[in-house]
Amino acid sequence: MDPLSLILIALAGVVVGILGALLGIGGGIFFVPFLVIVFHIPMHQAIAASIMTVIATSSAVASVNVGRGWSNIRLGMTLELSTTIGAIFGGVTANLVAASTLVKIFGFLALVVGAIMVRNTLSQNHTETLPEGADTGRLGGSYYDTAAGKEVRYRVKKPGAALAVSFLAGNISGLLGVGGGIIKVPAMNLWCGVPIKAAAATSNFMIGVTAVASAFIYFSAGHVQPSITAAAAIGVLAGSRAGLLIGDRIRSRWITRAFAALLLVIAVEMFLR
Amino acid sequence: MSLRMEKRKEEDERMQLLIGRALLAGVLLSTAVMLLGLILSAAGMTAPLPHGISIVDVFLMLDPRNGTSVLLLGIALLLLTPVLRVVLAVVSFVRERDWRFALVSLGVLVILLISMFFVKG
Repeated sequence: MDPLSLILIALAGVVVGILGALLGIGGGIFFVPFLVIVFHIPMHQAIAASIMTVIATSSAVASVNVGRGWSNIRLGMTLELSTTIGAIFGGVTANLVAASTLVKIFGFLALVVGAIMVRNTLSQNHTETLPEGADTGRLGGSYYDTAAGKEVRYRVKKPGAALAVSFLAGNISGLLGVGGGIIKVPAMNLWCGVPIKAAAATSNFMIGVTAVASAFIYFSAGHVQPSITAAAAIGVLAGSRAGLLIGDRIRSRWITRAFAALLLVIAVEMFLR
Repeated sequence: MSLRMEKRKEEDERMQLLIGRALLAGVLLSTAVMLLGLILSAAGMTAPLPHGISIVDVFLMLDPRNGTSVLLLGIALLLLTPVLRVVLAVVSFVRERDWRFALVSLGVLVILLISMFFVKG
């Protein structure tokens, strides 16, 4: 690929990285269609490049979140048992399925993600905190919420449901090259009672490990195009850093709704291809 | 808070800090190597590599004068970063004598190794 295209891909990665941080999503849902529609990169290569950017951002963001104590390593590791198996199935399936079919499945996912994004802007997140000193169970945890000025303690309800949703999220991640957090975070919050900050940080912690499980499959199948992947990963990393700096200041539900509308356009475009 | 839980929290925080540093180091190193690979490629120092080589081959066939080879090294380092995270989690849980979660983390590591060596796309 020529240097100019690579620079444009890196710049697109920067935009996607900023967007991801602003919208609180990974960004793969925008990056894959961008590579396919604008740069005419084959679907499997686009998915492979996107999955590598997911690994890069997850690792970079997790290293920041760690200091805040939001991510729950025990819960994350337990759920990774099912996300990684799901991701392997997803990666194997993707390599058996024609690119044109994957594009259509991706279009459907764009619709679902858009709907979840709109839904998230409509309802308050759900946080139930246990009294101080209460047992948080094997999977539960606690962190200090600086905004509320108190310690938040939680137990994990319905771990079976969390494992099932994690399998599905891992499967979609491996099949389509996205992180899958958009599915896990609301489920962990609404069904399992994990506070949204802990759910998001734990999901992010898991996404890199999940993505690696399918990335090895794309790598061995020869879908990792080195220069495209490197340009994409570097761009998204830079963008997500920038997004973290400006993120909290301009986050708004209208920006989220605008991009949910963009996902609708992407979905239609991918269905019609 | 009970003494046991306080100790667990303290050790968890140490583990998180260690894992966080390892992740950051992995990301920075792989990014630097990928940048170098892109520069070498842009300078015309590049040659194609066999199709579908394995992660192990990337290290064995490393050629510092071939941009593609250097790019693949950066990508391989990026891929190995989350694997390192899981290895560190296993080690930390063993040190905490938290056998249940040491086993869970070991399970995740085994799944990743199976994907790395045995599952072909």
